[in-house]
Amino acid sequence: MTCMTLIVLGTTDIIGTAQAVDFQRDVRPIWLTHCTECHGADAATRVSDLRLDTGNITDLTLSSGDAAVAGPNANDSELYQRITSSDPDYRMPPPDHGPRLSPADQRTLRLWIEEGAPMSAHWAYQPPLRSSLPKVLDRDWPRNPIDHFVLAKLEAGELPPSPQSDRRTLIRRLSFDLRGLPPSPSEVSQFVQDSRPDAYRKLVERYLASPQYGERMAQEWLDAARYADTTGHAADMPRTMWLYRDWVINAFNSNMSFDRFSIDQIAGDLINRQQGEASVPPSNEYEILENPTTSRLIATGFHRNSMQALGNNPRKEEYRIKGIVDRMDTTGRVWLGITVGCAECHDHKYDPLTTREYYELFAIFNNVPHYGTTFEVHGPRIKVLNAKQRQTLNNFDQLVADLQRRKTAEDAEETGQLDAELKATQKARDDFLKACPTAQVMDELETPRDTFIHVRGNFEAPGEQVHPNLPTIVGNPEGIGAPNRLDFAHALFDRTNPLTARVAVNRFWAHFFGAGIVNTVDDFGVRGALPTHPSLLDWLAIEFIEAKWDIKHLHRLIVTSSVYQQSSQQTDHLAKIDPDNLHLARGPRFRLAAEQIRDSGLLISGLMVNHLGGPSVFPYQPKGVGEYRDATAGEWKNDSGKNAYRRGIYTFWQRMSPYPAMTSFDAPSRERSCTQRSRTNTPLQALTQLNDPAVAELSEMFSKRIMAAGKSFRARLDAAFMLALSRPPTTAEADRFEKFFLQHTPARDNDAKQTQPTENVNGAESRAWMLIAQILLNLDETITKE
Amino acid sequence: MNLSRNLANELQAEISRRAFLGQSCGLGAAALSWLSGSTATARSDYAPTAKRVIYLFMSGGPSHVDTFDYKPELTRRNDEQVPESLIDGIHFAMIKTDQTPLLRGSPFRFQRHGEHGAYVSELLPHLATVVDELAIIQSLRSEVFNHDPAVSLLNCGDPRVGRPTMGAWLSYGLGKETEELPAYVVLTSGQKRQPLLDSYWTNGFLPSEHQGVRFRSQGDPVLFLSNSNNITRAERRQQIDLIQWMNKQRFDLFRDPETLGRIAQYETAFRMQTAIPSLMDYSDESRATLDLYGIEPGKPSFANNCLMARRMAERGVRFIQLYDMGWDSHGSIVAEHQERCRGIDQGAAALIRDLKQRGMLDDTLVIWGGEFGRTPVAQGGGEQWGRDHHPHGFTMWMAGGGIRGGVVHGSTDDFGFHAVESPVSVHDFHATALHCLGINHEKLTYRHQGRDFRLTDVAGEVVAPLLS
Repeated sequence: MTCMTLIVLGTTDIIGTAQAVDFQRDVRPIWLTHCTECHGADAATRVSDLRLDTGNITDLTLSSGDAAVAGPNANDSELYQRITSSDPDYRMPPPDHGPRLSPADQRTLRLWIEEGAPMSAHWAYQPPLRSSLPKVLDRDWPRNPIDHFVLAKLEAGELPPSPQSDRRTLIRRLSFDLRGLPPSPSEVSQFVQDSRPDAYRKLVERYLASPQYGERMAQEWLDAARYADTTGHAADMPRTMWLYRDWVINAFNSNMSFDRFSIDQIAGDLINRQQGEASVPPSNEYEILENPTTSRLIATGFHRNSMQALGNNPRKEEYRIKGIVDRMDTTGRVWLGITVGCAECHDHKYDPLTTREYYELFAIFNNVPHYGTTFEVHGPRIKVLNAKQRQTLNNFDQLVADLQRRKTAEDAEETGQLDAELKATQKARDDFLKACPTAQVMDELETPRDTFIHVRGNFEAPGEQVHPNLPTIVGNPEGIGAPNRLDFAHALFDRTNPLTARVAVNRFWAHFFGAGIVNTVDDFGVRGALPTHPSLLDWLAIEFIEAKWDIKHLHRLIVTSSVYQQSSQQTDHLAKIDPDNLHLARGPRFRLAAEQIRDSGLLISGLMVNHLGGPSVFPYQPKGVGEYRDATAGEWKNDSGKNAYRRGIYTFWQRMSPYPAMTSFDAPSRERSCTQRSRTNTPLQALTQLNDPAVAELSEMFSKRIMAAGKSFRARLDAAFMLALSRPPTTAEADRFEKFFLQHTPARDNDAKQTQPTENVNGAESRAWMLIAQILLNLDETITKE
Repeated sequence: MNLSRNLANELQAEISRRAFLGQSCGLGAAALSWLSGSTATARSDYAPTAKRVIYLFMSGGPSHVDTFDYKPELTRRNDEQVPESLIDGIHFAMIKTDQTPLLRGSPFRFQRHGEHGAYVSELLPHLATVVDELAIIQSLRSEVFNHDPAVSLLNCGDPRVGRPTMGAWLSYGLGKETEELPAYVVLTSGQKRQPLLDSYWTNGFLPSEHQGVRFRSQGDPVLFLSNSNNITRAERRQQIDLIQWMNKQRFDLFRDPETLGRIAQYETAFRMQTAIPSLMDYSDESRATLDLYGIEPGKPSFANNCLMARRMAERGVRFIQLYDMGWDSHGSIVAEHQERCRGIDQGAAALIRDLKQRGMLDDTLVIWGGEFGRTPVAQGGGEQWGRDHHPHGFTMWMAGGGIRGGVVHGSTDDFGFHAVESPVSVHDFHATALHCLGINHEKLTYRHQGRDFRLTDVAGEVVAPLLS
């Protein structure tokens, strides 16, 4: 980042009100780098009472009796004297602890002392406040409050916003963001021609209501939830988790509020208990899919996505604990945007989480009735039947009952035959039930486990016993004695919690803009990035809370803003002063995620089977991808027929040998929670998109579709462009493609120029279209949201 | 930051290539301004003694007491109960401790070899002939005794999930020397007794371009390398020309540097399509070379991979890791270790010799070892006995690239149980390897979730006696 942007950004939205030295932005990083070890939050390594992470430094008196900071003259302050001293016994940091502070750092601290050494607590741990909308000069530009915050900052930096995107680009952007698919050519032309003022709003509503919305939104959540179809670790056995995946898709589609969505996932089983239900009923053979209690149980699959070791392992407890550590890491990352994991072994070095607090929270998660490892997938689970499956089961039961009745009524002669029939029917019934899906769920032990602090993270070195308690960082809801998982989940959504809403809106923001307002979406701690638009982040957080955590409301707000609708074209000026688009002076442009690239290809080629939910599928992958997997893990059997053409979100997620095209386009393995995928640009991606037989099949089908769409070259090319790029070719493009076409259809000579229908489509011609189809599937424009 | 740096490097290469060919690349002033300030040279804290690494990973855990760690005392006290003091607080992976396990000397003969007289067992006659090139570390110490966390510790410096491997760190820290091959390649051979997991070559939290690319033993060596749909090379060139022309139009409109990146990557992909087959084609190797390795071209083996590693090293691959599977000899040390040692001995020795005669051993760091050693006590009784996982003291060796040959560093106790003299932690081993590559292990860091992570976590010291 250049010096210039650093100053412009600051921690305040508006340039001019920022101080020359900002404590959070300028001073804290120096301390974190040079001073934290001995003067920080970790009691085990702290050697001095002088703490530089809390309190007010001007009140501090050192052991020498002098003030660390005395008045505005830096030279009077012992702190400044020490950091500038050349006496090795006096200097800070001491020579054996680290290098002397750079002249620039020294200067920053001097300026800060001269300003009175103001300290402010870390912004993310203060409750969000809704500020009034900043004034803007251009009153016509803002469409909603989001725009006021962004525009005020742009105007302060004398940057004009970019013009509105053209309609074609806009509908593509919206369609990718809300459905994960390109718009169909007819949708595009309808929207382009619709001149009514509410055309865009109507489009937004239609996309928000489409079932594909849930599939698109689930994709990122499933990364965060580390959803996969195998157990992970060495054995990596298949296990049925997809009911949870479908639950997530349905939750987004039905616009479940974010608090309900979260609380059900963390503690749905305990809500059932609260309502007098046994959370995992031992007596029932199955649960009814449509029941709310079942739905809540399926939701708790969130924390059963943790990896599980299998096999002959003597340290069952070690793996059980790994599971809990993973649940805590995930919970911290997903809802609080903090790294709780550090405190497993020592007090957190810079964020306010002590080891004791960590294990008090551990105690809350310590009561799932499963153990570390066995030879099979284990832990609480339920069998779930939908209406149709229940009907089938009822029919079986009816049949069994009938046979039994007949058996008692008939004489002895026929019982032999009836017995056989009964046995066969009973077996068929049991087999049917066995084949019905299961869901891995959370459950709570009747008698909670004792929890001890693990000294330096070693569970075999138990320290002091601790009891369930909420860490201060979660907030401070009143009246909770010994909290359980449900209490913890509720505390996340208590108004005193400063993090949950901010972290959530920031992640949703990143969904649309490619980067969060806080760039480190999983780290809101003191080492995380500062928000580029802090007041906007807070405004969104409060709006989200006050709208009762209505996700679609938030999404609607974002996509109807002027900021979102800006063109993503760069100017040289913008490219120079804000290449990362931190000011949001233009719209987002970035490559589609792995799933969307697959889905786009399926849709463009007309192969997509748009079926919502169900067991995970096995689209084509070459032999030998998983050749070194564990023998028990099962082989990848390529699906044929419909299941070969389902959306990427339904592809079987094999942690230790993920689907290659997914990996190549940056999908994570989901061994652990991931809240932000990397976005790389590699030659392996080019090879995948050019040569993966699954993509090659798409280009074959796409070419057939193109040829069916018209008779003349130009009609076909137009159709091809409309399908892949939602626009017709420019004249120059049409010429280039025609040249290419002619080059590959020598027999047809210059016929292509004619607009007459071509009767006998020869092999060269369909091949030329296949080559063209493949080109179109490989374009930057095709796989990029503009 | 590194992402854009790599991108910039690749673009720069692309621009100079086009400039060289006299083609207009259309990368005007704006494109060049993307590059200025974001290009960086590969980092180097000291003068490197190695440019690349070939890491021979014996997956499953080779037995130190049957290969390089000669323990006459263990043989003398064969079948005696292991002293309680040795196993106090020790967990075994498989051996049950309700009865005290029995010491088991190596069934193989050891002899001194080379000028420096290091012991090597009869299982490795070829490696014995190059022993003067090796620095044998007999005091490695790990903390984990299950395969996948132990591999993770050796590769990533941490047994937990989610950290980058050494190969990913080097790809990130040193960048690429070649455009046409990945910076980090994985080759596989051996008997599948334990699975190999994709996490063994993970990028962890580094950008996914630093992930290792596994060359496959069947079909395309790199997935999706061959043209689909019977497309000829000429057709593919014409396709790519049109793709690039279209992408260039797009760049002119949107000025998005990622589009330039994509243009460069399609060119690289096209070149990979010839570079990799030529890499795999051994027809330019002499009969003498093939005999040195003892291989038939096209027949997959560890030795074949060793020759491949040398060819990759010549072409600028940064980190080449060869996994040889099947060292997890719980059931039979005699049969399984004989088989595995025979599988790797000639190839590994030939690699050292071949690199040396080509003058490449000087700047290639070769590493040999597994995720742990094997217990000096027997697992199972009778004729068929094996050894269990053993992280408390085991052997690895390093050679070339600034390593002093003929060194035997550290030792285990008389039974080969605990590393007692000059113990070397996995972090020390990593610090030493990075040092050879010119990297101060404390300085190669990546900020993730607020913390500056490094391969050596918070520990590690360079083992100076290993350096030449």
